[in-house]
Amino acid sequence: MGDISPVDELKRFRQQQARRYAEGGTDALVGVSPAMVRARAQVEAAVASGASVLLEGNDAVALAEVAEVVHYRRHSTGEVALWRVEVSTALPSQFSRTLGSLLRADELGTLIVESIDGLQAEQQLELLTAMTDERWQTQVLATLLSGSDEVEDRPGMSDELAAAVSTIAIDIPRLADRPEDIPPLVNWHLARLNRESDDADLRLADDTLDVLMVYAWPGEGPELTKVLTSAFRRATGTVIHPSDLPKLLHHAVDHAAMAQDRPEPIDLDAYLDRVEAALVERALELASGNKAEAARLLGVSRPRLYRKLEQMDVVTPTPAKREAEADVVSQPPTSPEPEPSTGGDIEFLPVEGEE
Amino acid sequence: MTPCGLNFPWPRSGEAHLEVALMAHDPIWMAAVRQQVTRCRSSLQRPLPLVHVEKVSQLPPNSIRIVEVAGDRLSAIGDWLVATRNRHWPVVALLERSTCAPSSDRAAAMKLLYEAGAGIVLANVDTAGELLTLLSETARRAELQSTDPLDDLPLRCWDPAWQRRQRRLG
Repeated sequence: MGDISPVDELKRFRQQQARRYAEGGTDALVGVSPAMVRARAQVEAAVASGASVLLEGNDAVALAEVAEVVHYRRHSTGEVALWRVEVSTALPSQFSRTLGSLLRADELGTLIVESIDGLQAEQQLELLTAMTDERWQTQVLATLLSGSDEVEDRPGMSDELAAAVSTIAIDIPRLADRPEDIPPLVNWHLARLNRESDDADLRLADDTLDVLMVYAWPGEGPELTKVLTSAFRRATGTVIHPSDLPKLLHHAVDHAAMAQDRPEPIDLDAYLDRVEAALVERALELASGNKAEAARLLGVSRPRLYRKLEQMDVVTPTPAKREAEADVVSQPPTSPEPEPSTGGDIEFLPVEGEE
Repeated sequence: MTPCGLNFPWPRSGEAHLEVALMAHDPIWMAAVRQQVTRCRSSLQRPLPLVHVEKVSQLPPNSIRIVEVAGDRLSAIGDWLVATRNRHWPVVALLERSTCAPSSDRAAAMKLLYEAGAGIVLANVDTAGELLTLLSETARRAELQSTDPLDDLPLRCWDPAWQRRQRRLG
């Protein structure tokens, strides 16, 4: 390995990536839904034409992979450079430097701009200016996360830039909007996992697939990959059962079974109790377990904090207090218990003339 | 990053432990990184731990990872970058000083690392100042993210549509 020069290593790395992104080598374009069929056709058009592409979707990883698919399928020999700018993590100076290098290189190349709407106005202008330079021979592949235009700190993309980079537009919808793609995606991952585990032959039980189909996959492709990988490791026989899936997915199934058309109500008291409990726990954490300090942080008296902790089952009542409570229970009540219908903790004044 | 207190927002799990992880064996590079981290720490006036690991596989994913790359490890590090890249924490690659001496080799090595997904690649110690910019910028972004008050509600499992909408509006 040490005999190979970095120049050759670079070429080999590009060819290896090209093989990886060859047909079937990534899950980013797997699916039978009309949206994925259209996306694959658009990718082929981008590969054949070299036109600029705007990729939009909810999964940043999938968008970047599709952009790489376009580059490596178009330039599979490893001769053409790929430049990449992840706007969310790149330094402000990095973008200008990359554009300068591309213009100076005066050769074919591909520029992937991830989260293009995060570019500042002057950077957008810089990109537009570079794209009109006669030395520019670069295919621009830009990605845009759906809904990111509504985030306040994102400058958004100018109309001119949107027009320049969206000769071909590829839209990758959310997994939740294309459930028919889940079975082929699951098969793709199972084949990969079996291959990686010395040609194991694990398969999915039908009811396991049902659970996977019901879940909404807010974490998109990476979450599906993670869930399948962990289920694959947990499975003991040759079949992956629903019990091998995380509990979260089972909760989703239960929830779907109870789903109604109208919005689900919440229990306000239970919700507020949970907020209160979270604040008490946080205060105790900040006070390193010192209850007096925690009470001071919360602005409540120490006895009240203790009562709250007892309710939360964090501390048990002192023996003296327990005895006192037991006495109260054993003795007949001196005053009648308020009826729940009269308002719980609210104390009612006697109505005039009632006496 | 967020000062400790009861008021929202509370620090997120990753952000409370923003740290730099270094896998390097060259004392010059190690000293240069330590110097930049110390400078960043004093300019931020917040803790920014620097941990040293022996192997690439020991680098924690939720940290700013800095890795020294020898000429004969280019391919392996390239594969590692492709496999472990994430979009929140940049990876910094440091070219080993004794290898990749000819400029064409150095340029090819840098290109490979960039194409594989490195955030920045530093070819010599003179350019270590860029590391300070990257650290400061990443810390600033992490802090900006923490100022979203609705994203840090204690009950993140409950995420109704009206809350998502409001978060988008800032």
